[in-house]
Amino acid sequence: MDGTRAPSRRFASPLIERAYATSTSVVASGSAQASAPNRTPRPARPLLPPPTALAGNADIRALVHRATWGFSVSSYQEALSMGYDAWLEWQLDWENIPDPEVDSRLLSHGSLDLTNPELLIRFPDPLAGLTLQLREARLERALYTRRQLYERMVEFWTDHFNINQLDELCQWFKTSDDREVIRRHALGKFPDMLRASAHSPAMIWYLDNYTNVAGAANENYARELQELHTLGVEGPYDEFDVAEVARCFTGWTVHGATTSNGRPGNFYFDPNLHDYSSKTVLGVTIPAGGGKSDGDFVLDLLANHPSTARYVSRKMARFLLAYEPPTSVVDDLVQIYMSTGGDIKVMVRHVLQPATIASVPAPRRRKLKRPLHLVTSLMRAVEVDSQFVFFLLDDVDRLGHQPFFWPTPDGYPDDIESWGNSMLSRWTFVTRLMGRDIGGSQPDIDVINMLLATAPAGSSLPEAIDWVLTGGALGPQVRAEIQRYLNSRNVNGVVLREAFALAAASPGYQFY
Amino acid sequence: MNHHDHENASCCSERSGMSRRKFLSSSGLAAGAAFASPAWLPRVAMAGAGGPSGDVLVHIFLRFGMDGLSLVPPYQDADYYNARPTLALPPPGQTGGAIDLDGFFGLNPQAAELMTPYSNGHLAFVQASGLTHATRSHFDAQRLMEGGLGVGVASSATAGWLARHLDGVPPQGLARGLSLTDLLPFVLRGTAGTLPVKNPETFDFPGRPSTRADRGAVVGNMYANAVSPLDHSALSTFDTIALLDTIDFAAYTSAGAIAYPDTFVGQRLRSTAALIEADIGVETISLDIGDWDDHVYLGSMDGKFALRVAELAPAIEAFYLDLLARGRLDTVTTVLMSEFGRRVEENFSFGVDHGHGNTMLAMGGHINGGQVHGTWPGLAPANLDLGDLAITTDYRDVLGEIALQRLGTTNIDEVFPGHTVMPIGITV
Repeated sequence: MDGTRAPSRRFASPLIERAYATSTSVVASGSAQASAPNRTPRPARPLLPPPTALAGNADIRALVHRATWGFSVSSYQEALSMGYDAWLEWQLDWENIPDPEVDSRLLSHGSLDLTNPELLIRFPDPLAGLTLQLREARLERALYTRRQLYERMVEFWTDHFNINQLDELCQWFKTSDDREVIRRHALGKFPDMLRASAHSPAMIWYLDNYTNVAGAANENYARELQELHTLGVEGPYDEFDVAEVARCFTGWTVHGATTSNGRPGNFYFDPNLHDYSSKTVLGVTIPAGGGKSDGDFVLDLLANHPSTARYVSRKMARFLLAYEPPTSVVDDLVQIYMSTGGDIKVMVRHVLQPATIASVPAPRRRKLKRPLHLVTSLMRAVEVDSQFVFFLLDDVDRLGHQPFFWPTPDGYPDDIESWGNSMLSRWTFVTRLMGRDIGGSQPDIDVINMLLATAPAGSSLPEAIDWVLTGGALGPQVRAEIQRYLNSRNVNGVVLREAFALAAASPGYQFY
Repeated sequence: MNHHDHENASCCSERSGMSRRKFLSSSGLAAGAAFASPAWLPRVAMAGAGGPSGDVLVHIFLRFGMDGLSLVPPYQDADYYNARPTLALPPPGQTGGAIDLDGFFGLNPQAAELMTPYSNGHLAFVQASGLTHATRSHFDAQRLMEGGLGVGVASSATAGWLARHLDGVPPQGLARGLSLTDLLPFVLRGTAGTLPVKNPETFDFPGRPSTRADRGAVVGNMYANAVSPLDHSALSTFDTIALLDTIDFAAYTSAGAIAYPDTFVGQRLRSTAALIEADIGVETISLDIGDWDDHVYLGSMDGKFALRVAELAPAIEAFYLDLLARGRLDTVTTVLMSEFGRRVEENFSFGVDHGHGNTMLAMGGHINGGQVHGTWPGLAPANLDLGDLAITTDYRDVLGEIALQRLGTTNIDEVFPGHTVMPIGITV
């Protein structure tokens, strides 16, 4: 099993490239590996399926497409060698997956483990490094972690509890929110994550709850808590509930925002700002004189509400499985949510069962990769060993998907209508990456090596490219187009990378 | 790393080597016949068929709840001052006071530049207008308004009202509706020929110029049978690349007395004017401006709100004067709207929460301007809608009248389903 990535495989043998210039049709079999003596040896891989079965194990391929930040031959082979169930369990048990590469890459990001008070002191100007560290870490974790499924769920919850990193104090506070709310509970229990979010200074700042005080409620958090975090906009609440929930959360603030005692930046319930009169939320009366327990009660009420279970279940199934998940799958998840107290891990395990995935015909579970997913897919597939994520973030920005920058609390959209009209920015990214043209840096992409190392013996070049990018899912029409492009020119490294870019620009590669 | 190869190096200097126009013509793109895709041919044949059906519509969405009461304050309504002790703008004549519009409403002084089109009778406000649906959710309200929907109409529309309008009129070109945004706003989704073009100046097919045409052909072929909306989005992309290549955006300057401000809004409107002036058949241009969600420290006079208005107003004035100088004011209608206004009563944090009724703006040579339209319901607590400004004019009556009178809409029942448009006299 190939878990860790080989460091920086610098391989650009002119001999090998020339060999390709004379042969556009055949990728040599394993023996070609031996003919590249200068190359850093790759770890041994399991035996590949014969070329007639380019699609390989369809179940495992579907699993890898859905549970990772993009198909890669490495992940596919990893799952193939472990077996479906074992790989899924291994991924779900993320805390026991050593992640040395990510650990070492994050060493330079000294802010990630700091508390809000420490961040406020250590980074007087957050835009000079702090906010960037979190965004670089987002990209590095997606690209290089072995905890792929966990990082996908981190993405899901980041949008569910979206916070705009640029919103004033969120420049500092999002760093701890990412760690204490999202990452701590991404495969934990939803009610725990909800409670952590309600206590998170970043959320309190972002949705203005620090200004929510007795006699003059600010409804922002109360509204989005019900509309976006729990019940859903179709849920059983109305404007009255919004106002009442707002009163329940009066006094939930951040040290330093409304008081000067305590260490600025930590959560603080200010008893002097709380509205102690009685409230009625979703028909339930909360007696007068409660205090902070009012908000805690509301969080429990919402977390245990069947509408929350349904809203969260459907959204999760949509994220992992299909835009329109079958009602039966959602019903199953609701039942799991209610019987396990919102255990995310059990829910995810259910969605990713072969039978659940197979319950949606393949065409109907095709989902458009959001731009960051496209970026990570291609970089994982061609195994870009990148020290240039700083530059890469500029490209991500041009795709409209800068991490933590979505301004409003609904999070980046997860639908084809939002993203499916912006093709040029995608074509531009894949062309720039495969052209080694990312922000003036030149990412180390060794396509030839990749093909030699992973493609099934006897594959044509387009088949090999398809294999590397998707495990063979792009299909004959795309392969024919690429073959036609290759036929008319001498195939050198530049042309081969263009062919990769064309495949990555194809409609099929925009989906997973 | 030292992997630099000369062939590759040229790919990043997109402007060097073969000019874009040359690339386009050599690929057949400029002639509109590129990429041997059958989907092209009927579209090309349609292009330019018939005369212009109506004005170019510039659709500006002020997202996340622009506080109309701070843009067009009802300074004669005493309840305005009762509800907003710190945020209300003083009446005209006082320090920092509003600019009088009609003896009852004023204009935020940070928006003074709007007086230019207003005084000329080319800018109108519609007070107490909006989406009568009770939702106070940004996302619901934006979706409903961009969908042209309202109370009692299913909110599951898959196309925006402008997209449906475009479906009912003959195309004037291949790029029918452009948005100067990252993502296509819902109002333009659901029809062919609409596309987000965040920056028209740099909208170009990537990679080595020497292989661009061939690679473009491959991509075009691959997308011919892609699922919607990728298929028509890809085709629109090639259309639009070819069309935008005919425009020298960088050289475009205002023909009016005032240059476009060097601000985000100013430069977006400059690009908008360049697109209109180029006569490439763009029928509607959509812009998103601002995040107006001021729950905290609204700053109607000197804070966040005021700064945003102070960026918006001079850009609108420059755009107006440019259109006027070029003789295009009579064929361009501009609307500015937001999904809802904000709570009448200010909150403890010197902000205002989500509200209901709001102000819409319309500008153009055939806009019945120089006045504030609508019926004012008053801000007395008894007249409010859940604490918010009540709505006396359905936003669809404003947009619907403009659609019928200025855009040549042929399918108004589909554009605003379930609603009978009652014109309010916004057009002349």
